[in-house]
Amino acid sequence: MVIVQLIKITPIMVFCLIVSNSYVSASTETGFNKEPVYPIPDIKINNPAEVKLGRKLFHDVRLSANNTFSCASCHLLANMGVDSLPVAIGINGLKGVRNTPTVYNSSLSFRQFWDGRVKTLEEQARGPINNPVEMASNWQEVLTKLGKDPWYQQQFRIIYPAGLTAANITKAIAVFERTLLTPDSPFDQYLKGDNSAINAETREGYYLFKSYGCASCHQGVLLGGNMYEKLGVVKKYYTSERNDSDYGRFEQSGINEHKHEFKVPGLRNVALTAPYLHNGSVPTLEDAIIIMGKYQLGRHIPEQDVKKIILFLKSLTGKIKP
Amino acid sequence: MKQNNIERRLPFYYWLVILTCIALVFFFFIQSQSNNNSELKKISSGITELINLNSQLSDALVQNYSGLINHYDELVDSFDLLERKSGEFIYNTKLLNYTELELLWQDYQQALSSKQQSLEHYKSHYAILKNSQAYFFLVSYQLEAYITKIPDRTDLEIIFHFINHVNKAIIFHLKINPENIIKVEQLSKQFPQDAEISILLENLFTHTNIIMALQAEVNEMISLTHRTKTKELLDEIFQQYLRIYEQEDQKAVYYKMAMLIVAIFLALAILFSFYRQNKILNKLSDTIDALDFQQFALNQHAIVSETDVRGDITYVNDKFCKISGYSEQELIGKNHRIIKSDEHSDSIFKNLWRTIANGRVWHGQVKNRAKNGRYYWVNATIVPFLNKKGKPFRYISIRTDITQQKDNEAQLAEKNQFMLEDISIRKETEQALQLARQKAEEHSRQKSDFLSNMSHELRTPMNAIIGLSYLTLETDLNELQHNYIEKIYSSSKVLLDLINDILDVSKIEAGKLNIEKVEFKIETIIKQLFHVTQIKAVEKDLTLHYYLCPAIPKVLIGDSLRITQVLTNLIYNAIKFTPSGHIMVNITQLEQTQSDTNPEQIYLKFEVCDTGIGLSRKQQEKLFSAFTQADTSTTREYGGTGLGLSISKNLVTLMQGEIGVFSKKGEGSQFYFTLPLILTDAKSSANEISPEGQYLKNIFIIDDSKIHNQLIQRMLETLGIQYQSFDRSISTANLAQIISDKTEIICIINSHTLLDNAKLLLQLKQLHENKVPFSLILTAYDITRINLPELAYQSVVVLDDPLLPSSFIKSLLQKQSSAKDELAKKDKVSKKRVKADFNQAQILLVEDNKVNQMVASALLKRFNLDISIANNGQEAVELFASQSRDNKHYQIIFMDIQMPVMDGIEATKAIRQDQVNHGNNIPIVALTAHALAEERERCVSAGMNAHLTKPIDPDALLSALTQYLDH
Repeated sequence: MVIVQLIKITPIMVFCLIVSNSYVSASTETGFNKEPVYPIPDIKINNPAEVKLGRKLFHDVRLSANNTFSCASCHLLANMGVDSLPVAIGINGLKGVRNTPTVYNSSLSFRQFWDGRVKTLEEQARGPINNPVEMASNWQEVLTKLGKDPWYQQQFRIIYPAGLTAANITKAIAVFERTLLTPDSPFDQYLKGDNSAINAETREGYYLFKSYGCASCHQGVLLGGNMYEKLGVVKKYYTSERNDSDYGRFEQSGINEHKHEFKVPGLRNVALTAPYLHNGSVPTLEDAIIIMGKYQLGRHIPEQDVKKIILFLKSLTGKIKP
Repeated sequence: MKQNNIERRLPFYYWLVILTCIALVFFFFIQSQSNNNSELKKISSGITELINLNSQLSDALVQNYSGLINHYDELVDSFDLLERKSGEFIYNTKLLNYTELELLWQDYQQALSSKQQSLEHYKSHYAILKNSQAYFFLVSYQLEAYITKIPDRTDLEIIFHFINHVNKAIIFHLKINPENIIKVEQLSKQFPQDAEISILLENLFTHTNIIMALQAEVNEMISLTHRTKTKELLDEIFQQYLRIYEQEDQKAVYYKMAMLIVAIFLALAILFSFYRQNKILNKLSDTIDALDFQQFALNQHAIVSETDVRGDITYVNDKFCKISGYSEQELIGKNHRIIKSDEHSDSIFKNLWRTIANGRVWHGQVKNRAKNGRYYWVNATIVPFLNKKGKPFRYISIRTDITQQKDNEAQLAEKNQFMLEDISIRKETEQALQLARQKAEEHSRQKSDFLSNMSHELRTPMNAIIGLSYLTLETDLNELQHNYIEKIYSSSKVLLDLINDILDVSKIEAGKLNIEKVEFKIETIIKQLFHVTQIKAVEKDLTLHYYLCPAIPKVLIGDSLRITQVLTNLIYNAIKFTPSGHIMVNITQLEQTQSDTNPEQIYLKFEVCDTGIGLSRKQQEKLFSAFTQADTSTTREYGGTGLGLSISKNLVTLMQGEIGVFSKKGEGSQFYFTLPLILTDAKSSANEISPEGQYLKNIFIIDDSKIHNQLIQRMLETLGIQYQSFDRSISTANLAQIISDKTEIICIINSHTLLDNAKLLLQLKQLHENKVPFSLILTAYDITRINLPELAYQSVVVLDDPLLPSSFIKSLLQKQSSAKDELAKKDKVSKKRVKADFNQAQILLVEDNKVNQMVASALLKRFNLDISIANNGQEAVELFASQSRDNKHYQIIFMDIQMPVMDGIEATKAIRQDQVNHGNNIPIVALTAHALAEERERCVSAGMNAHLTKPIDPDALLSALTQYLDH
C-alpha cells in the first residue's frame, strides 16, 4: 500500500524536486546570474576633489554642536565603518536606540537607516547632524563654523556653483561615502569564477546558506539591504523577556502591518560588524545565525552547519581601500 | 519767422502705435513658439520611456516570481529607476502647468506608490513563502521516510494525502482545503508530544499555514502590482497632452496669423515713415537750396555775420570782410567788439544785448571801425536764433552800409546847422507830424464839405438880393437911392463871386469838381473874356491886348468854362496889380515835342503879362497855395480872397496842365499856363488864307501902339503875308509917296485916339481920291461913332477888339465892304438889346421858391411876356397839358431842377413824352443852382434845350429869350 502510494507520489515528488532545485541548488557552472548574490562593483571616482572634500567633512568635528563628533566618530572607517557598540553613543554620551550600521557599501542599500526612512545618502547625512543625541547641531551653526575655514570656502566655490551650502555639505559627504565600497572579497572572487578563492567548507556554508533559506532575504549584491522583513516571521521573536519598544518601520509609517519590520541588513563584512541585529543585542555571528534560523526560518540549524555558514560569511569580508 | 508747412515730427501716437506693434509682434511670437515640438518630443519620449520602465518592472517581477532571478536587486533597481525617471520627467516637462494633467499625474503617482507598497509586500512575503514551500518539501520528505519505517500504520496514509494535496496546491497555486489540515491535526494528537513524528508534523503544519496564508497574498500582490494602472494612466496623460497640444497648436496658428498681420502693418508703417522721411528730406534739400539762394542774395546786399551767445563771431560774409578790412580768419572766433567804435554810449549796447538776449529783434544804426581805423556806419538788424526753450543760442546780424547816407546827413546838418538828433526821436516827431497832418487833412476835408454845402445855401438868398436890386435900379429912384441900390447890387455881385470862389475851392478840396470835355471855339472864349475884362481895364486906364495865334485850330475839345475861369482870374489879377501900362494875353501853340506823339492832342500856352508891381521870389513860392496873397499887406491894399490863384492852379492841374509865373519885383509879372487840348475831327478848322489871299502883298500898318502893331505883325507873319509897317509919325505925303504905285493896298490903322484915327482915315481918303488905290482900310477902333462925312466910311472895315484871327482874315479878304453896313447892323442889335419886346409871348416859369419866382417873373416881365407860374414839376406838366388843350401853346418853359413833388428832370421827361400836345417841340430852359457840366448833361439828356445858372443874369436871360422866341 505504502509503496503504491509512494509510486503514486513519486512523479510529483520528482517534479517538486526539480522545481525546488531551481531555488536551492547552487551551480557555479551556470554562472552567477542564477545566484542570489553577485560581486560588488569597482569603486568609481569622478571628481577626486569632491571626494576629498567629502572625506574632510566626514571627519570634521565642526559638524557637531560642541566640536567633538564627526561622522567618523561612530562610523570608524578603520573599524569597517562601525563603532562595535550595541547602540551608538552620541554627543555628551547620550545613547541612541539602534546599532550603528556600517558606512561601507551603504550606497548600495535601497534605503538608509534600520527602518529605511530615507532613500539617499544625502538625506541620511542630514540626520545625525541634526539629531540631538548624535551630533546635536544645526545647519546655521555648521555653515557659520565651516564658513570661517578658507579652505572650505575655496573648495566649495570651486566644486559647486552655489558654494558652501547645507545641500552641498551633504552632497560632498554622500559622494565620499559612495567611494566606500569593499570589493574583491574572497567570495566575490569565487563568484567571478575563482573556485580556489574559498575552500570546500566555505562553499558548503554558502550552499547551506541558500538551502536553509537565508538567501531568500539576504540576497542581492549586499546579501540583503533591498527589502524589509518582519522580525519573527515563523516564530514570535518578541516575548515578555525581550524589549518590545522598537516597532521599526511602524515608527515612521504608522501602518500596523509594518510593526517590527526592519530593513534586511546586508551581510557584506558582517564578520567585522558585531554586535548584531537592529539593537545590537546579539554579540556573535553564531547566535545571530541560530536566532535567524529559529525565528525567521522556523528551522533548527545544527552547530556544524552554523560553523560552515560562518565560514561563508567570513568570506564576504572585502578589502578596504585606504 | 516763416512757419514751415510740413509737420516735421511724427505725432506721439504714431510712435506709440509702432511700439505697440513691436510689443504685439513679440507677444505673438512668444505665444506661437510656446508650444514647440521639442516639448512634444520630450513628453512623448518621456512617456514612452516610463511605459517601457513599467514593462521592465513587470518583467523583473515575473522573472523574480518565476525564479529566473533569485534576488530583488533588479526589481528594486527597476522600480527606483521608474520612480526616478518619473520624477525627472515631471521636472523636465511642463505637464503640471495643465490642471487636468496634474490631476492625472497625481493619480499616476498614487498608483506608483501603491505599486511600491505592493512590491514591498511581495518581497517580504515571497521570501517567507519560498522558504516555507522549500521546507515543506523537506519536511514532507522526512515525514515520508519516517512513516515508511513504521509498519502497518495505514492510518498514516492520510498524511500522504495531505502532503499530496498541499504539493498540488503549491505547484498549481491552488487553495489548501482546511478540512485536510484538521484531519491531520487530529491524527497527530495520537502521537506523544516529543516524538519525532510530532515535531515533523508540527513543522509541516506551521509551514502549511504559512503557505496557506502567504501564497494567496503573494498572488494577490503580483496581480495588484500588475493591476495598478500606471501604464494606462501614462497613456491617458499622453492622449490628454496631445489634445492640449493640438489646442495650443491651433492657438499658435492664430497667434502666427496675428503676428503676420501686425508685422505687415509694422512694415507698412515703417515704409510710410521711410516715404515720409524721404519726402521731408526732399523738401529739406529744396528748402536748403532756397535758403542758399536767399543767403546768396542776402550776401550780395548786406553785411552778414553770425555770433554765438557771447558775441564771438562764427560766420562772416565777404561784404563784412570787405568793409571791415579784416580777413575771415582774423574774425572767426573773435568777439564782435573787434569792430566796435567808441562812438556810442554803453547804454546803447546794453539795450542791444538786453533786447536780443530776451529773444527780440534789435534794429539800429551803429558806427563801426574797420581794421585800418576807418569808421563806417551801418544800419543793423540783429536777429536772435531761439532754441526750443525760447533762449537765444546764436545771433545773426544783417547790416547795410549807410556811411554815404550818414555823410550826407552830416553835411546837411552842417549846412542847416541842424543838430543831428537821435533817430528815434526824429522818427517819433515825424510820426507825430504825420498824424497831425492826417488829422488836419481830415479836418480840412470836413470843412470843405461844410463850405460846399454852405455856399450852395448862400446862393438862394443871393439870387434874391442881386435880382431885386437890379430890378430896383430900373425903377425911378432919386440919386441917393440909386446910389445906395447900385452899391448893394455891386457888393452883392462881389459877394457872389466870393461865394463862387469858395464853392470852387471847397469842391476842389472835396474832390467833387469834374473837368468836362466838350467842343468849344477858343475865339468865343476870347470874345467873352474881352467883354468882361475890357471894361475893368478901361476903368484903370490900362490897355488890354489879346493875341490868338492863327495856327491854332478854331474848334478844340476841353473845358471852356474852366479855361475861361482861369484866364479871367489871371487877367483880373493882372488888372488889379497893375497900376499903369498894359496887359497882354497871349494864346499860342506849343511846338509838339518828340515825346508827345499823340496826334490828336495839342498843347496851348496861355500867357497873361502885365506891367504891374511884380512879385518877389519868396512871394512866388507861396503864390499858388490857398488863402495866400503875395503878402498880407497886399490884402489890405487890394482886397480879395486870395483864392483865385489857388483855384486856378487846381483847375489847371485837374486839366493836366501846368501853371507858373515869371516875375520880378517892380517889373511886372508873366503868368502862364499850358494845357493839353484835344483836336476835333475837322482838321480844317485851323485858320488858313484862301488861295486868293496869297496875292495880298501890299499891306501897310500904321500904328502908334507898338504892342498892337506887333500883334498884327505876328499874325501876318504866321499867315505868311508880307507887310510894311510905319510909325504913326509918318506924314500923309510920305505915305502917299511910298504907296502911290501900288494897286492893291490894304491899310491897317491902329490908334488909341479915335480922333487921330479919323484924321488919318480922312487923309488916306484924300489920297484915295487922288488915285491912290486903296482897296481896304482896317481900323481897330470904332470910328463909326465919330461924325465923319459919308465918304470916310467907304472901303473901311472896322476890326473889333479883340483882334481875332478869323475876323482878321475875313476882313483882309473883304474887298468890297462898307463900314456903314457894319454900322447899321450893329445898331440894330444894340437897339434890340436895349428894348426887348416879345409881344406877350406865353411862357411858363416852374419854380418852387417864392422869392425866386418873384425875381424871375420881374425880370421876364420887362421883356413883355405873359408868365404862368407852376410851383413844381407836377403842376408844370398839368398846366402844359391843360394850356395845350385850350390851344394856347407856351412858347418857352423855364424849369427849375430841384423841386418838391416832381423835380425838373422828371417834369421835362413827362412833357417831352406828351406827343399829342407837341411837347417835344417846346423849348425848355433849365434854371439851376449848379453850374456844373454834369448838371447840364443831365438837363440835356432829359430833353432840355438850354441851361441858365442862378442867380439869373438878365443878359443871359435875354439872349436865351431872343434865341428861342425869334423864330
